[in-house]
Parts: sequence; structure tokens; C-alpha cells
Amino acid sequence: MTPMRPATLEESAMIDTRYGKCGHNDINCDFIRLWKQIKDVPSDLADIFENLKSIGESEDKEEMGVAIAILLVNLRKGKFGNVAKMGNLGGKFLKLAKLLKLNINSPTTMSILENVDNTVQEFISTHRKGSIKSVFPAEHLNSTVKEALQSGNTTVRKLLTDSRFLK
Amino acid sequence: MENKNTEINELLVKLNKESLQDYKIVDFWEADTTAIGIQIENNLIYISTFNYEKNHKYNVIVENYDTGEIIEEEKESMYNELIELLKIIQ
Repeated sequence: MTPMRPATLEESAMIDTRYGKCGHNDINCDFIRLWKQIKDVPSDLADIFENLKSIGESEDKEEMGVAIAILLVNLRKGKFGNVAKMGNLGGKFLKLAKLLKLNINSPTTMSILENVDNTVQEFISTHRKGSIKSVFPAEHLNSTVKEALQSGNTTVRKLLTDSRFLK
Repeated sequence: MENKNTEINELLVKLNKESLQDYKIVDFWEADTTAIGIQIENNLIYISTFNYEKNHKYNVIVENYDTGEIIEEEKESMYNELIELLKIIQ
């Protein structure tokens, strides 16, 4: 059996988003969320099939290889929650990377994709070196990372994707 | 380069045929499939094709390689203008 408790903060945040956050933060809350997750298994399986379908649709052999490798590792470890998450997030990440014209194999890209709906200000405070703030165009600080990358502003894109500013 | 789009790869092939010397490809933007950097001495030329497809236009920014200080702000350039700029910097 693999533990059902979220292993990371990101996983915890995803479960909060999906099943709602309980204010008590005690074992009863854990059981309620666990029960919701168990009831969700059929839809998780549907996500797995959707994920397999999205991998099959990819035209990029390298992307396909990476996605299949992650899928196999999660299946082997019995982490079906992660496989389902791939359906929601992995497939979404592949599509987003393509939409934003980003290299899915880059660590810089992953930090962007995981925070694509955050504001630029939040993103650079948490994930980029402080020195970026003084040169970043102020009018884009309140946009989401996704909006900023798609804005067509070359300076904004240059700064957000520059690996030298990674924390 | 596998992590770059067709426009960047075509640009690199064309640059290779020009009479440019002592330039180095610098990929601080490995996350971006549409951009590449070229280092000439202490200058870093950032070239982006994000806003263009198949028309040999580029957005170019020149900065100091060591300090990151912007020397030339974002500018749209045709291929010939880009080559001229690289030659001037050399």
C-alpha cells in the first residue's frame, strides 16, 4: 500500500483545490478527504485513459518518451494518484509548454508551468533571484505568468525564461 | 539544436555561413524554444523569434554579458539588419 497522505506541498495544494480544504486540520478531516479520494477512483481511471490518449496524440517523440517514462514509474510504484495527476497536470503541462513555446525538458520551464496562473510578482518573489525585480517591466507584474509570456513583450519573456535568474 | 524551433535553427545555419568571427552561441534560454543568445566579446545578443514565424524577422536585445546592463533595447530586425548589428559589435 502506498500512503494516501499528500507527499509534497504541491500535492497537498492540489488535493485542497480538488476536494476542498477543511478548517479543523485533524484526523477526521483526513478521513473525509480520503473517502472523497476513494470515491473519485473511477474518475481518476478516466483521467489515466485521457492521459494515455494525450501521450499518444503528441507528435514530439522526446515528449512522448518522457511522459511514458513518468507514467510507467508511477504505475510500477502503484502511485495511481500520481498517474491520475499526470492526467490532470502532466497532459496539461505538455499542452501548455507547446502553447507557450517552451522546452518541456528544461527545469526553468517546469518552474514556469507549475506557476503559470500566479501573478508575475508572486512568481519572481518565490522562484527567481531578487535582482530580476529592478529590471522587470512594472506594467507586467500583475499579469499572470501565462499572460506575460504570451504578451509579445520580448524583455518580459527574456527575463522569465533566463536560467541565470533561477533561485 | 533539438530544443529550438525551426526559425532559430535556420538562423544558426545561416549565421554559420556568414563571415562572422569570434562569436559564441550562449543558451541561457534553454527553456525557450524561440530564443537564443550570441556572445561577442563582452556583448550578449538575445534573439527571439516568438513574435514571428517563417518571415526571418527577429526581436533583438543587446546587453552587457557580465552585468546584464541593457546596451540596446528591444528592437525588431530583419535578417540583414541583424547581421549588420553583429558585424558592428564585432
